[in-house]
Formats: sequence, structure tokens, C-alpha cells
Amino acid sequence: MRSRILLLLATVLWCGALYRPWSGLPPLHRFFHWTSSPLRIVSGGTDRLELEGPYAPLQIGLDSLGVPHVFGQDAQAVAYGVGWMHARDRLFQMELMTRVVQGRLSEVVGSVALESDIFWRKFEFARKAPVWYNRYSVREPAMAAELIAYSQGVNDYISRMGPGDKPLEFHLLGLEPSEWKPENLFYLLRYMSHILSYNEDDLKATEMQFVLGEECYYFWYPTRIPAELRHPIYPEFAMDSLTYRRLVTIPGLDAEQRVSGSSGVYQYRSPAPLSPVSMMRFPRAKVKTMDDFGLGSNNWAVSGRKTRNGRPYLCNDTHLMLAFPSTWYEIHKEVVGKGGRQGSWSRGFGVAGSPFVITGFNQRVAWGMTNATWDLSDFYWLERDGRGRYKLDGRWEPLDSFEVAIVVKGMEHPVRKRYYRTYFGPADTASGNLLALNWIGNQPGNEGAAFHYLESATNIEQAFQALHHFRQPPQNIVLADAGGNIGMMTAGAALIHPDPQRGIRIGNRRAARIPFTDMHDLYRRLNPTTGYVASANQEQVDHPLAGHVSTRYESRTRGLRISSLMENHPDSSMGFEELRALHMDVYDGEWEMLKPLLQQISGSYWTYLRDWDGVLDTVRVAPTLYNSFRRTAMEMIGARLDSGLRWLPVETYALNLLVTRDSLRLAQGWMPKLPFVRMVWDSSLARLSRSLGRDPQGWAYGRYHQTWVQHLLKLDPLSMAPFASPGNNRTLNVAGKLPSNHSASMRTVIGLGPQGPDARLMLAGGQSGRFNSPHYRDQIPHWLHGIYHSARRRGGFRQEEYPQSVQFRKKPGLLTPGKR
Amino acid sequence: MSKSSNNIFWYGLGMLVLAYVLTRMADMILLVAASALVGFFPIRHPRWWKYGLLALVSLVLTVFINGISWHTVRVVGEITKLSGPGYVAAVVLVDLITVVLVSTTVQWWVGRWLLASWYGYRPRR
Repeated sequence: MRSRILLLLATVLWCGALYRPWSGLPPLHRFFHWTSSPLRIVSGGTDRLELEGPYAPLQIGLDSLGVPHVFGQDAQAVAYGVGWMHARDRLFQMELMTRVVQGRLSEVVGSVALESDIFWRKFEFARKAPVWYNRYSVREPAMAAELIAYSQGVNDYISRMGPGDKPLEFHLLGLEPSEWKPENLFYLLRYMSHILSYNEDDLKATEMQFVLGEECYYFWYPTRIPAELRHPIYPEFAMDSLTYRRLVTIPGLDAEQRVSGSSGVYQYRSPAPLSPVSMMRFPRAKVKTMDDFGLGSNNWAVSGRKTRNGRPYLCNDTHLMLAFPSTWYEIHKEVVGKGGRQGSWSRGFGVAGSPFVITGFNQRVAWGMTNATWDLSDFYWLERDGRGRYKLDGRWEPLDSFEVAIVVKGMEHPVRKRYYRTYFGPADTASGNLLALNWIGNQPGNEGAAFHYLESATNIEQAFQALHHFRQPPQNIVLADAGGNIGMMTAGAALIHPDPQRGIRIGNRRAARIPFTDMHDLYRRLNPTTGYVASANQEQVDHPLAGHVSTRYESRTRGLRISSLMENHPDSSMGFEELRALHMDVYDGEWEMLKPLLQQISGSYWTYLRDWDGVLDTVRVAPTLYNSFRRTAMEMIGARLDSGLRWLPVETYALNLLVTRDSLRLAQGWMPKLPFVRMVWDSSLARLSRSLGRDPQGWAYGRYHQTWVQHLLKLDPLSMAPFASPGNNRTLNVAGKLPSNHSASMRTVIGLGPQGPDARLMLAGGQSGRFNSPHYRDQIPHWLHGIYHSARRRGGFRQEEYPQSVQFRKKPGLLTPGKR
Repeated sequence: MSKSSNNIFWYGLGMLVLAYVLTRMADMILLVAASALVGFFPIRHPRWWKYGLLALVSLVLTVFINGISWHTVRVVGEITKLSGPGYVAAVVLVDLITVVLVSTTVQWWVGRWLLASWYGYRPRR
């Protein structure tokens, strides 16, 4: 009897142990089972799949790179197919992005995401997204119909998933895919807006002014870099003083008030307590560090006058975090015309979670973007009376508070957090302060409509009109059309600050809240006489207005390089190879600036540097010496300015100070420049000796500078080990960090003309987010060596052209949604 | 009057049940249920290791039916820090222990009485 009881007990305990979640892990039975465990995971389905579907007939052909070519009878059918493919290839990425913005990541990954959730929950996007969707679906019913069809495509895929279809990450996290809703597009847009527009520079600036004092602070952090370091995107920009004054004046606001002294929000030698944010990019605080400068994107368009075949060309490469899966997803959407008529189509890169092509082309128009790098987050300090009120215009206004319960995996009780809705935006407490945040991400905006209309634009004017729907994150959008036009518009809303200083503002008056101003037609360029338009995240205009919009634009270096290469090419001399060469260019223009200084201090190492041309290839030693010096210089400047804040000066400006000044104002006082620079050089050499060995002959750049691509969950087996890569954070082919994981996330070269587009594309990574798919990382070698694939319109589905296909036929008796 | 039990039939049926479940099921609870069902089978002279052998043969069968990607095994093995073969061994072990424990328990608590009442076998002491 005792044996029987013991056996029963052992069985119950065993089953209980298999089904019990362990700390940080899902129940073990999910892993250790022959078929429902990850062992059974399939890579993406059979070669020929035929299904019944609501938007049939619908055909999807997958080419040799796993790029879907979706052919449907109308835009909704195509959107359904795109949703189905996104779910098949990127389901976990979509789930993760949605959870980040909803502030529900801790539920599945545990306390590591708690800071991120605390940041996101204050915006109440889970409440706002359906409201925004309902509002915009009334205004844009065609767009809404596409979103509904897209969502159904995602959900139909989820409901048809067998045990082997669930992606590995869901197994690892013990997670089931959530239902996809049309309003999820707004989560995606806020997610992108956060990556490209959110910063906490105001908090940093207040603390740095307190720590350094005014003289030292303004030595390193000017509100605007000098004219000789600028290279504006819109060189012809002019504005009369009346318009300028009107733009930078806020009625009722005579002078802005800022917090002086320490607010305590950053106890400035420890990581930021308020620090939110995306675990994807920054483990702690979302502030710009030196690794972020020079990281942005490039785009340009050249007129037919400059090209050999007379076509205008448009090129784009967006610099984002390299990850598995890639940020971008290539797609070809085609509405098959009825009765032999030609239907509409578009092709390019979109993002899983949206049915639209975000950067790409159609029969007659091409578009591409770079981030505008504007200052779009203002912090306001609010005075409280301790009785749930804050002071506004001399009166005490009630604070509208709300509490959220954040469920954290592995914690018994949810974390409760109280926030406030204020006139200035959502507010949170930090070190005893009540700080409100006026961030563009909290604004409504229907960017989906911009892409919806861009996809069907037939000329550059229609494309400009489509961009009027675009508010965030503001982008420099370059355009070209088959009629030979090229142009650019910086689309989006800006905070035009009356006083271009950074720092926490005092929110005691309604007038103190700076409104968002739509900038669409202010920065616009069409068919310039130079024969090209280009942007690389630098200042838009050489006008004081630029300083009111942002104080920390990217360096001019990449923009200047594009211009100089364009101008070096005479008319009728450019083609695909020349444009590709720009994408792959690894010349750092700042070498010329630093060369005299390095000649002074480098001693015997000058033999390596003397004849160097500033090209950061992987085989030479000179790029290593140069880049290591730059990095060490910035780190030592940071250390002398209190690196605890991790808020470094604008890199080009700071390095220029090393060249042009005789002495430097550091936190401890003035210091002659040369001893400091020599210290930097020696420190840089010591660091290289430690990491690469004592013999400088072995300091080839490829050993020093490497790129790696990590999985979204930072799982090593799903990531790629670092590999030698050229470039740095100042080259057109950007690869900044060490090791670099931030670079060109895709590249496009699109030629337009009456006979149709001639386009070549490339993706950093692969189409599929499934680790065992052949398309998980198949384009990495292409990306590294500049191998593009041809992207042409297919003009209809022919099964034999594709190694894989999915075809939907109509279920008997089932009507197409929306046509009942 | 006692009937005679055809052991080959019950072993075969048990193997098919386990193989079917191991190949197709979406959740491990079905393996527990299938193991319990096998525990009811009137197998003469049941032993825990006989259930283990049954499970092992079924697992091998499922490899032939399903196929397993070595790449998948290697990656998941690395994530679970068990290496590829270690991970496969752990999966096999977990499934074996589950089948052995559940089937034997069911047999000990219920199956043997069914066996006795249906076939007149005397439970072992």
C-alpha cells in the first residue's frame, strides 16, 4: 500500500512540476514534449498551399528571398494577404511591439520590462488607440477597410496555426498570440515615433547646467552649432522676419521659465530613475549617447539630367537597430485589374503590423525617408499643494489621477502605479517632482493615411498632398516621379520653442505649453537646379528657426559627403553602380578636420595615418587609430563633464573644439588643450594594446570594428556573432557602435520613367522571423557586400514563377466582407 | 470464467495510441491522458519498464513520422543550455517518465482491479 501511495504522490508531483510555471520560465511541459515543444516548429509551411478565405480569389507567390507578391481583386483582398504573410513571418515581432506600447511587456518577460511598462502606461494608448481608429476610420473609410481586412488576415493565420506553426519565441515565453485589431496600427506608429522622436534631453540639460555651471555648460552644449559646421537640407530656404517672429511667438508667453538648479530627477551618478523605455535599444535611460550621433538615415533623389539613362533615381537607406527579425519587411502588393485592365500596385518596405508600403515605389512615384531629428518631447515641472492639485495661471487645479496595475511575470502581486492627466500631458512623479510630458507620440495622427495615399499617387504633387496626413515622427521625405520630377518635404509636426534652450520648463501657465505646429509646406523643395535633393538627418535650414525646432541635429558630415559626391558627378554620368557606391561609401569627412591635430600628437604612429585617405575599410590600421581616438576623446570629455549623466555633447562640435581651441573648459576649470588631447591619444593606444595586442601591425580595422545582429530577445543562438565591418558613425554606410548593431536596415535604388520603374532593393537580415526559415538571415551577406536584388512589378500571378505560393479560393456560400 | 488477454494486441494498441498522441497533439495534457488510458489496458504482468519500452518505441516511431530538424534541436538546445543531444535526451526522458509514472500509477490503482475482475488475474502482492 505504501508503494502505491508513494507512486501516486510521485506522479502527482511530476505532473504538477511540469505544469507549474517556474521563476522566469513558462511551465516546463512546453519545452520537454516531443511534438508540442519547439522541436516540432516548422519553418513556414508547405511549398504550395491552397486555402479557403474571405477575400478570395487571392494569390501570394513567394520568391527565392521569401518576398511575398500579393495579388488580389481589390485593395482589401491584398491587405488581407499582407496580414496573412506578416503573421506567418513576423508574428512575435508584432506581438512584442503591441505589448511594448500597451505597457504589457512585463506580463510576459518579467520585471526586466517593468521600467518600459511604467513609461508607456502613462500615455493610456490602450484606451486611446480604439478612439483614434474610430475617428480616422470615419474620415478615411478606404484605409479603414484595408486595416480591417489586414487584421482578418492576421487573425485567420493565427486561428489556422497548428502546434508546429507557433513561433519559437511564443514557446519560450509561454505565450499565445493575441488577437490582432485594426487599431493596433496606432501602437506601431507610436512605437516608431518613440524610437525616432523621444528623448529626455530636457532632464539632462537641467542637471548638466546645475553640475557644470553656465560657462562650462554652454562651452560644450551650445543651442546651435557654428555656421561652418552646418550643411542644410534646404539651402534655398528663406523666411521674412515677420513670419519667423510669428512662428516663434506664443501668445501670452513673454518669457519661458525653466527649473534652475537640480530637480533631482537624475541623481547624476546613477542611472536615471525616471528612465523608461524600450528595452530594445537602451537598457536604462533613453538619452542620446555618443553611439547615437551620426546614426540616422540617408536619402537622395537625382534628376534625369545627372543619370546616363535619363531616368530620375531615388535612393534610401534607413539606419535602425539591426535585429532578427529585421525592422523592415519587403512586400509587393498588386491589385489585379478586371477585364484585362491594369491594376494598381506598389512595392517596397513596410513594417509588420501595417498593410502599407512605408518606403518604396509604385508605377510612377517613389518615396523614401530620413528622420527629421527634431526635439519633440518637452518636460514640465508642476507645482503641487499636497492636496491633489497643481498650480495653473495662479489657481489650484485638481489633478486628474489614475492608477494602473502592471502584471509582472514572476511577481505575486501586480505593481501599482499612479499617474496624472494634466494640461501639459501625462504626468509622473520623479524624485518628489511632478513632471508632465508633452511628447508628440501622445498626439493623434493618422500616418496610415499618408502611406495609403502615397501608394496610389501618380505624380509628385499627389505625393506631396499625401504627406499632409503625416505628423509623426517627422521625416525628411524624398520623392521622385516618372515625369522626371524630384523633390523633398519635411513632413510632420514640430514644437517650435520660443527660446531654443533645453531644460525642464515650469508649467505654471497655460501659455507655457508649446503647441505642435504642422510644418508640411514650410520645408519643401522641388526640382532644384543642382539636379539632386538629399538629407542625412542634419539641420533642415540655415536659419535661426532651425534652432527653435531642435538643438541637437545630426552632424553635417554625411549630408556633406552626399552633396560632394553628387557634385563631383557631371551630368549624364550616374547609374546604378554610382548610386550603389554612395550607399556603400565609408569615407569619414571628419578625418580632414582632425588630421592636423593627430599629426601633432600621434608621434611614430603618424606613419600609419600620413597617407590615409579617410576611408574606413576593414584591412588597414589607420582607421583603427583614428576611430579609437575619436571614441576615447568623447568618452574622456564625458568623464570630465560628469559622465554619470551619459549626455555627451554633439560629437562633431566637441571634436571641432579640440581642433580649434587652445584650452578647454572642463568641469574642474580651464585646461590647456594639448595635454588633454595627448592624454586621450595615450589612453586610446593603451586600450588598443589591451584589446588587440601590443603590435600595431595587427590593429586592422576589421579586428577593432565589428557588427553583430541580435535577436529581439537577445538570445545568442538566434543572433549572429560579430563580424568585421567597415565604416563608423560618420560614414554614409553607417556602423557606429562597438560592436555595431545600428546600421542601414535596408537600401533602395529606384529608377523611374515612362516605361516603368527599375528598382533594386536589399534588406539587412531576412524576410522571416522564424529562426529555422531559410529566409531568417539570408540577406546578411548581400547587405555586407552591397548585393541588391531586382524588384520589378510582376503584372499577375503565375505559379511557376515562385518556389512557394499560397492561394485562397472562395469558400462556397461565403460572401466577401464589405460586399454583403 | 476468465477470458484470456491478448498481450500483443494491447501492446500494439498502446504503441499506436502513444505514437498518435506524440505525433499530433498540441498539449502535453493529452500525453498524460493517453498514458492513463494505456494504464487501463489489460496487459498481463504489467511492469513500469514495459510501459517505458512502449513509450520509447512510440517516440522512435514519431521521429519517422514527423522528422526532426537537427537545426531546430541544436538552437533550442542552446537556448535551454542543454545542447542539441542534451535537449533531445531531456525531451525523451521527460516523456518517458510521464508515460511510466502515469501508466503505472493508473495500473496500480485501477487497472489491476479491472484486470482481476475482467480476466480473473490475481493482483501481485
